Amino acid sequence: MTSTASDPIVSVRKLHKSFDKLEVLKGIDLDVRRGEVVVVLGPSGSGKSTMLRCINFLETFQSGTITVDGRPVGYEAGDHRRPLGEARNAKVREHVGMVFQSYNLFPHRTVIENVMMGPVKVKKVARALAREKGMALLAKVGMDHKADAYPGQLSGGQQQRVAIARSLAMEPSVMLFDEVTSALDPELVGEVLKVMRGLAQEGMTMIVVTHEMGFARQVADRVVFMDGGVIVEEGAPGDIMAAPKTERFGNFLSRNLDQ
Amino acid sequence: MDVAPFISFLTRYWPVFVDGLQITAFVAVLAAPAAFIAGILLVLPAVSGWKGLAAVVRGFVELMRNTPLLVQIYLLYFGLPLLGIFWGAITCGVIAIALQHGAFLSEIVRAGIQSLSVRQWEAGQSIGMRRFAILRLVILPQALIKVTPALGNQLIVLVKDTSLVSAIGVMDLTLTGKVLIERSGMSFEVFIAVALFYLILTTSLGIAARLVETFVARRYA
Repeated sequence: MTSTASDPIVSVRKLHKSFDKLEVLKGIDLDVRRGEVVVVLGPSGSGKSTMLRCINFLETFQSGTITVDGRPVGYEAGDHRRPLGEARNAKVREHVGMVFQSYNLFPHRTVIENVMMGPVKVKKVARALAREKGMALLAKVGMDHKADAYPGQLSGGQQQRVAIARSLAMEPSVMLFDEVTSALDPELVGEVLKVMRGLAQEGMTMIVVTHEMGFARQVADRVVFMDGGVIVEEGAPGDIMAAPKTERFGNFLSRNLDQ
Repeated sequence: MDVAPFISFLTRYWPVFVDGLQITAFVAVLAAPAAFIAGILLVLPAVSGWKGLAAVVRGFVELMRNTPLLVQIYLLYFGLPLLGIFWGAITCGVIAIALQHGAFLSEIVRAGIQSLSVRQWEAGQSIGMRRFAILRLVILPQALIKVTPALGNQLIVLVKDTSLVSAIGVMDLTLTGKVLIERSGMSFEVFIAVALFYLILTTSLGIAARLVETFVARRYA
């Protein structure tokens, strides 16, 4: 697959998603370019997490298309909306890293085994090499000293950093962060944001759903504000967070900025 | 009560009891792993989303759970020859025990799987793993850890259930006891001895199960 810097890594078109009769995404269009950091803001229930989960096909969707690295997500490209098989979904997910609010580490495996599982079991990387790369990633997130600990022995912030390393181990084209600091004690939020900031500086393509206004302002290339299942406003944080064009975003900012 | 006659009785028939104990242990050692494997296999269709097979397995599990083990042993031992299949008593006993206990175990393992958060599946999916790999590497190990106490319990029930193979002529502890009564006329002493031997087997298994439980709890809690 050839792609240039201007090609979108993630492309979402007219995405509609309903849970039973409740429509939570009402036509989302979003392109994310290589190396871009997009921060998605919005009140609870605005659909931002659901959109993120659709990109990884953890949620099915009723209409619209999503591509990652040119590969269709969930459904066959073209007019026939046939669901892709499990193998092809798994293949797409190899290229999409996802970090969850609740870390979701594998509690029965040590930290390094968590990080190695994807490369060894999915990519069939030799264990020794996977361990070496895994240790390097753990060092990067400041967790190499806990390589042989079990997740249950770690703090929330530490678990979340391991979860980031586990995703990075698959060498994804894009990383999705789903409110990854929301479950953390306030004093642990900083260590996780620091790791994410580092990734952004290295040029990782990231879509970040968060309530951290400071992170949005300082790290985002683009801020997307969602409300009621649509993208209400988007732009460079310096522009739209300083001077929101819509009243909805303005109200949201004034409610959240002082946090 | 004077224990001296009981002790002399026990020493006199010790080798006979040991033979019976060995047969009982042999049946249990074959049936327990077979039951465990059956339990895992029986739970797979339901958690893998193979709907047709899952329904068939569901029916099978209900059938196995809801009919007496002794009847199942009789069915295999006396029924199969009518179909031209002649299996030995131990084979029939082991298969019947493995199937019934497999059915119970599959329910235990299923409960363990269902107690896990769907987020564990999602975490596996998000690193590109396929459903079966997630089941094998992420879900099943955690489910088994969760239900360790119930598995230990079921193992003890299984060891005691091996006594039913005496009904089709397997010379296990129980049948040894019956034969010894005829030989010695000491029915009370014989069954005290038989019960003691079962107790030794089940208690040591119980202690082993507790040790595993503590180890697992300490490591993964």
